[in-house]
Amino acid sequence: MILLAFILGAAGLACLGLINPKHHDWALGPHVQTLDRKLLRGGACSALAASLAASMLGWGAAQGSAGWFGLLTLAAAMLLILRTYLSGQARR
Amino acid sequence: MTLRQTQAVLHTWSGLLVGWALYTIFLAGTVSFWRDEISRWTRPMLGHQTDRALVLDRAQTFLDTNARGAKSWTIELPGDRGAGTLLTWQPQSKAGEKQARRRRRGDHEQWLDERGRPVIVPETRGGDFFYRLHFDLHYIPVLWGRWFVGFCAMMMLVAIVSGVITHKKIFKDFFTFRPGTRQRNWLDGHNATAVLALPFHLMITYTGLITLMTLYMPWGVAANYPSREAFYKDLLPSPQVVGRLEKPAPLANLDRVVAEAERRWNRGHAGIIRITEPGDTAARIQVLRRLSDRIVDGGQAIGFDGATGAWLKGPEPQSGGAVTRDVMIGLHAGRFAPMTMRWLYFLCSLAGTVMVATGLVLWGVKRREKLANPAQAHIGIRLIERFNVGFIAGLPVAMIGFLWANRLIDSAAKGRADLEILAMFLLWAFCILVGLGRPPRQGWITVFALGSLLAAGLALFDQIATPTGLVSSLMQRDIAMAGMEAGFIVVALVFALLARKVARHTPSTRLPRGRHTRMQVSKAGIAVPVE
Repeated sequence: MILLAFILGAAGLACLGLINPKHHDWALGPHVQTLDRKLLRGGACSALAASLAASMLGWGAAQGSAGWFGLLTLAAAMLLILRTYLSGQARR
Repeated sequence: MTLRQTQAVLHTWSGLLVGWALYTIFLAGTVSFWRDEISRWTRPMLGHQTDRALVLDRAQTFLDTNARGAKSWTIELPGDRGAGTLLTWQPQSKAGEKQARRRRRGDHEQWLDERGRPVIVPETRGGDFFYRLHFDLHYIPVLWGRWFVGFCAMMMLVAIVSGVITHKKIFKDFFTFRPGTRQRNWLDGHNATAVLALPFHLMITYTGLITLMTLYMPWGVAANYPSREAFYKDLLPSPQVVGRLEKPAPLANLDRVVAEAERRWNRGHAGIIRITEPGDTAARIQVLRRLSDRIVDGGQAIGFDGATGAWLKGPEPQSGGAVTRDVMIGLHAGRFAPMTMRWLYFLCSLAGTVMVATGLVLWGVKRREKLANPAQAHIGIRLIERFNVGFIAGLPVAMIGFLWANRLIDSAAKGRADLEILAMFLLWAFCILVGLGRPPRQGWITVFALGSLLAAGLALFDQIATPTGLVSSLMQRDIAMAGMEAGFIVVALVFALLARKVARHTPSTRLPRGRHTRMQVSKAGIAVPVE
């Protein structure tokens, strides 16, 4: 359940990241039509809410709501590392 | 000056003024999430998985034999991650002797191993040292230390809020890290570690202030209680004091009493058992709940009659205010955190430590780059750059030194626990001297290389000279101790990589905007104008 919460959290944050044109172009290519921002925002909110629910199911309501922030931090760190090193930004 | 500019000044100075202290507090706190594991590592003879019923039975027998007629007994059971049961007892005070006289460390105490056998344990503070260093500091009076730590925490809170306003692009630049691009990489590193774990940083700083709120804001207590003692008596109820009746009566079976307490907590676990006037009909038993049971960091005491084992009172309901405070303390200390969440606590706290460290380095980098000739920085910048080496790289190296001291100092040495701490501070002082005495680039390389050698050496030493090495821990399926040993290897590798990275680093010779002088890299590793 915790792994599911982590994956959903990462998916939610990825949707949020794609709203930024810079990240959008890198992930999907500059020629792909920009995804609907409203759709991405909706997807992000749904995934993050589902992630919170999964975290609370896994750890219980009190601990799960605290641990969820930690899971999001880890998910965001993973996305940041992927974004940096897959794009070859580190070499520039 | 715009709001953002004023906040930038506030952010810079609130962070810089207490930066090294904050780094120490953060790193000691980060390490303290593994307090039980470190304590176990420093006392390997205590074993691991405690057989509670057997230990309680043997503890009762031991105390009955060696501390009969004492004023009180205390039995501290280990948690799931800890090891060893600590027995302490307070003898009856003689006529005219002050009750509050503090017992000397080591007097009237005995460790029992996982099977309840008395064990001689070398004197050490173990993981508790880092835990207390986090909020008491060391070699200064505790009260001063706590006030200073509170001041630093307040500065941290100011730095976090002003930092969010200052670096307004941090949310826009989310998921952005640009290594290898002059001060940008330091700024991105600082921002990334700050923003990714921002909820944690806010929580840990605010709840840190709450843990000592009655010290920092004592007026609420002063207005409602005649004395601080009365306040603590209300907050932390102690067993009902009954005078010794001098009517001998055997103590009730402790395991049965603890089982009853655990039933009343609805599947809780006992942490500490206190017995007053054992062996007398006036005996009282107080069982305190293990703090790691719940997010609320409160003992939930239950009282029993010592002679009959009958339930007397507890757990008492807490007021909303007390529960709120205890939840905040629980969130800060993370004692409740199961292993996955403990790792999240540790990683977020590590991010906070890196955030403070990168902020300190960034201060020097930014100021040097603004100078006409970066090689001729004024004394302030040079001093901070050099002190950074000793504080940032030196502290973790000194912590490894503490663990080395635990392994090397003779187990019977007098004042052994203090010697371990002294060894750590001497090594830290040495690292600071290295940082001051060498150009920063060489200083970083030397201290990182020293740390790498010490950490790798410790894992090797344990493998060869003790039964707690990585291979033997893995063979015994002792994941915690294997994790400690693997941790030393990881630390050694990270330090080695950092030393290599600094050694290979070539500072950018690109000019800041508006500058037209050609630049080259000096021998000290600083970009200087071509003459």
